Parts: sequence; C-alpha cells; structure tokens
Amino acid sequence: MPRERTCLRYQLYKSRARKLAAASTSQLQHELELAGPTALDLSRVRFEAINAQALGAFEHWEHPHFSWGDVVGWKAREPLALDIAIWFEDELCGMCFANPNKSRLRIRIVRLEGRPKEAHPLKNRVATLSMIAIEHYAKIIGSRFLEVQEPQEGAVSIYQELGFDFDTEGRLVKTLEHLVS
Amino acid sequence: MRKVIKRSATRKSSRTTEDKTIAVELTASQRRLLQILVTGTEGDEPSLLAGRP
Repeated sequence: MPRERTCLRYQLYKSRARKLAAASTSQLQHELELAGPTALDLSRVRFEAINAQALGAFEHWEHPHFSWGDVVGWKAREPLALDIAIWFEDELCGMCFANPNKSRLRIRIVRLEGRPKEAHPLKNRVATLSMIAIEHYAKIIGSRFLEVQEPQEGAVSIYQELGFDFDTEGRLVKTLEHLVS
Repeated sequence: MRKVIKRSATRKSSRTTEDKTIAVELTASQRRLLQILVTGTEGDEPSLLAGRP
C-alpha cells in the first residue's frame, strides 16, 4: 500500500507545518509580552485544516468570494496540497489553499481569502499568517519558491510587503531562503 | 506462561518528546513575516487575496 502510506506522510507534513506556524505566533506573543502589554493576543491564533468545522463557520460568512466546499474534492485529488483555516479562537478569519508542483520546488497559492464584509480580529494579518504556515511547509517538503497564482490587483502591494515580486515572466513569486544559523 | 513483549524505551520516549515540544527554527524571511504580523500589513488587506472567483 505505498500510496496510502505516502498520503499519511503528507498529512503529517501538513499538520507539522500548521503546528509550527502556531508555535511561531505563540512564541512571538511571548516575546511581545516581555516588552509590555499587547493589543492583540497572537497566541489565540489557530491554524487548522479546512475541515467540517471550518466549512460550518464559513457558512456564516457574508458574501464570500469562493465556495470553499470545493476544497474537499481538491484535497482528495492533491494529497500534497496544503489547506489552512486561520482562526482567532472560535472565529474563522481566513482560508488558504496552496499546492506544490510535482517536483515540490514551487508552491502555488491557489486561493486565499479573508473573512469578507464583517470586521474580524485578524484583519490585515490573514496573508501574513498564511505565508508563515506556507513557509514552514515549504521548508518541510524542500520547496524553494512560492507563487501567487492569480493575485488580486488590490493585493499586490501586500504580497510585495511580504517579500514577493514579479519575475521576468510576470509571475508574482518569492524565493525562499535558507535557515538562519 | 505468557510471553512478555518488550517495547523499545528509546522509541517510546522519542515519540512523546516529539509530541510535546516543537522546535521552531526560523529563516530570515519568517522573522520578517513575524515582524509584519505585529502591526499588520501597511495597506488595507482586501478579503479576496488570491484566486479567481
């Protein structure tokens, strides 16, 4: 049963990436608290899979851009793809779906959406939190590039702030670095 | 008399340790992302960030 075992391994990689992202934000919160009181408690951010609970919370979003239920089928077809539901405690604030290519060298961010209309605690942080999780995943599977597949025009400056830029072929990409010693 | 099956103590402890602690090693890029996370991105983040609806 090699395929089943491989799929299980990928599940572990994804789970580890989400856990590392949560550990990073908790660690950051701890460091910030040492310096003084903070407005937002980043240790309450949770990174989960897009599961039944996330899709249930998604039902309460007003005028979403995507039908995130599609992701259930995509996940079955693309075992290496990373799905992220970003929560602030019990509030679903964003969702992301990113898919590595066959060589795993490049991860494409296929969909990324923050909760529309209503204000939420992670406003202006959804893209950053997604990239934190994706970069942990990239390290685990050995990817070297991230690419935003279809960036929204109004979001390009945000991606540039996060280290992306257009390459010679007009793709919005980020080259990943090695670990800091 | 029943046969006693011994389990490797080393394997057991390494699994437990792995579950409890996650060592977070960060790249320079990840450190920058965490800095941005403190204040949020400069521009107003649209809800639709990537993908074609």
